[in-house]
Amino acid sequence: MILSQYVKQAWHQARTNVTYTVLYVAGVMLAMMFTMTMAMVLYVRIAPVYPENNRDNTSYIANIWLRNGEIAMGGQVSQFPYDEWFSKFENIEHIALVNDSYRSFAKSPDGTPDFEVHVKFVRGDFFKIYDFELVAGRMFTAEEANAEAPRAAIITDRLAERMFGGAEQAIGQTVTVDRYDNRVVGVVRGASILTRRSYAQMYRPMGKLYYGPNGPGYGDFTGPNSVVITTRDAAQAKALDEEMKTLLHKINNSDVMVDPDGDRWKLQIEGQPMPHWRYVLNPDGNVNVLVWLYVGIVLVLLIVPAINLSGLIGGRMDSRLSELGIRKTYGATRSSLLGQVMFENLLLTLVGAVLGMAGAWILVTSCRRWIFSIFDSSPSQVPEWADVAVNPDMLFAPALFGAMLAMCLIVNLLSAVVPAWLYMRKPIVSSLYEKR
Amino acid sequence: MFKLIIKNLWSRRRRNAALLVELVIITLVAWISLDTVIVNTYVRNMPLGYDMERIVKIEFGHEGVNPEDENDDARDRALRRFASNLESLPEVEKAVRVSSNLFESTSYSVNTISADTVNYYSFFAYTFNSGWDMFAALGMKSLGNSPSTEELTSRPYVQGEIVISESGARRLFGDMDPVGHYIGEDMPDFNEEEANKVVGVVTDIRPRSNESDALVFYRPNPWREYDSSPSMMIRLKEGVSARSFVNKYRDMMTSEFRGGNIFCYKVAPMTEFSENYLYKSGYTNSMRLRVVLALFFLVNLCLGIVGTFLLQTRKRTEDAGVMLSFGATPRYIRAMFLGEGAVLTTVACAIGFTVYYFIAGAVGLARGTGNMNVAMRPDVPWIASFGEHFAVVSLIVYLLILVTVLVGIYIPARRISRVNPVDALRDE
Repeated sequence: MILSQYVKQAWHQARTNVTYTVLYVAGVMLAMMFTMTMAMVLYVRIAPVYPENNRDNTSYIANIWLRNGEIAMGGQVSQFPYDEWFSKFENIEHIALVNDSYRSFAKSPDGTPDFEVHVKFVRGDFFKIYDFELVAGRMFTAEEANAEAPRAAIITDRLAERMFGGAEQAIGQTVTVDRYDNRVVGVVRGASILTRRSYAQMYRPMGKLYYGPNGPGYGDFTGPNSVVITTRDAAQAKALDEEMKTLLHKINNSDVMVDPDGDRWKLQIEGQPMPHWRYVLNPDGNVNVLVWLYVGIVLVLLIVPAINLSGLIGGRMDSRLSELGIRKTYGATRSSLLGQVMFENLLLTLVGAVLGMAGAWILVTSCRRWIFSIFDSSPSQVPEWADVAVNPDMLFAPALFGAMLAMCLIVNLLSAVVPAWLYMRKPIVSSLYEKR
Repeated sequence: MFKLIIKNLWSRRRRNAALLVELVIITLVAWISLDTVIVNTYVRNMPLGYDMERIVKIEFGHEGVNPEDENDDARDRALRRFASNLESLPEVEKAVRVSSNLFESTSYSVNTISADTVNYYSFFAYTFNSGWDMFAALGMKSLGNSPSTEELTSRPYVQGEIVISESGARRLFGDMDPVGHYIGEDMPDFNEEEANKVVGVVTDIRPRSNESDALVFYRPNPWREYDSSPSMMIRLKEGVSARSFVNKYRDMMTSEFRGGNIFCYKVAPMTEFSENYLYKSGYTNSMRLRVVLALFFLVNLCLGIVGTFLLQTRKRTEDAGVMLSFGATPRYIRAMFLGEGAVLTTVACAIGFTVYYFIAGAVGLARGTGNMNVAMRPDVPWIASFGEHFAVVSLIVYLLILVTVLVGIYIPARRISRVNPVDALRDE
């Protein structure tokens, strides 16, 4: 009942002090819009979204180094270490090897000019790690997946629509990419380009490499691929780290690391397998510094508006002193008065927060082609032909609403507590003397 | 009036203290955000050395159709056929083969260059192909004793001969003619026998529109190193719109320009490539983030100022009423309020600039160049000089904050100054 009384009073205050209300809500809206935009950007990149629903348990081996004294060479991963060692890890749930094509062109079936497509070459449990929804056809058979020169392909529903008029019509058809024919065996619901680790328009099994008559050596560790791993839980992830250390020790003491001149090279895979969130935020740098930078940015985005709001609230308290003085004479305690002021401000903060959230949705949706890479020092260009889909599960996640509420509370506390507390300490008499 | 302004500010010092703290924080944030924005904006508007608006770039993809065409002779023949077709178009002045990473590209080669007097700089390195006058196509001219650009691109070369830019020549050799001299490439101990010989100097081009320096050397590629995905540059005639040209001829090029195992897959104005490069290099995002942050804080400042002064309306209205009854004009009262804002801003900025002066002394200021040699002074004098740079940016930041504060104060000030003295004095 007392809460409904506060709500009525807050509504009355808002109506009678329109200027104050507008300024307060505008200040909160601006702060929330920016912080929620930041939260959404980070959420889309880190949190589980289709088809990367297992991001919490996903890690990567993306870069390896070979060193021999002062000489170093590095790059992504070739098939050799994956086939020979990584795929045999015991402490994993699933593992896959992935390679993105560079500038592939598909032949258009209606004679129009070739168009660019994004192709992913995959091996292993790619479609178990990423929860693609099968729309038509089937996934690769073991024979297709392990073929020496694979020709089966899985395409997305959008590509199927563009080339053949629909998913069902695409099954059994041929897609010619870079002059190679591929038979469509399955169609999946396409991923947004925002989920870059799984995004492509066509998926093909990875062919096998030939390493020469002597087999692979130290120089065959690097290649154009990355390894994706899922583990059951944190305990298994930790066990995997230990298994990796043991494996590295074994590899570095084996003959495969000795070059034809007799020099021994050292394989280094620092900090990998790397968890998804760490890989996405900053694979090469100091992640702790980056995390603190983000926290710092959010705090500054909240603190400066909070100082503004604090000034507004302080000014507002001047005109409410007499009202509060009367309530004090009738026995209201300091804490109940403080609670009332805090609650009234919280209501306004919530209004501003909801508007800010709506503003963030509009900003993220309208600027989706670049906003998700706003914090990247070398962002990837979104091709002009790519559709950047921002799905509802990216914008309306419970975690985001939770973040919004948490920020509301922070802003409210930062802005309202100090001025309200200072004014509560004024004696009753001086409160009553204050002119209306 | 000045004394009155100080008195008014002092009498509301608690309220104004919060405002002062906010102003100081915003001064610092604005400085950090806007230094790079100001420097980068200035650099981007400097002359490039060529008219990018008149350049269209064509990118070719590789297709392994004919094994007999898997060599550069076949590619070159195909490209000459395309160039001939293009130069027959009424809008085209010149069409040349270029390397795919020529200008406005994240793919680049940067080498440490030293002259025989041992100076170290980082230069961009680009190749040009024999028989294609890339320099003339870009409007570049040769300087001093250099052969003409046509001669430079058609003469027989030996390994190690290069052409350098005017800025590069000045940095390495001062006023001396560099032709015939040697420069070392990634050579800590200079050795003339292994160094590159300068055979020509050409006018400056800034290879990246977001970087101020034009330290470039051009290496000929007469021995036809494998370049399976070449590019072409088209220089359009004066007055021809690059976008219109692309829209008109793109379909023709993508369908007809095939041969030598290459095919045209992208035709776009050079300005579009430049935008893509600026995005991929992180420049665009960095600028966006900084501008948005600065705007965010300035808008917050405006809201805070408006709120603070509006909430003082009741009390200040009474003060204004007294002043009006003693003969003050509304204009005087508005000027008094604006003066309070200006004094508060000036004090806050002075504090903020003093604090940032020491921070900037430690971390440095924006350079407007990505040149890896951090000891190299940027080409632009005011950017290179710490004092001048600090003064210029401080002035811009001060003016921005001052305008924001004055805009924020004007609304309540106008309302207060128009009060009827009788109404204002009624409560008194």
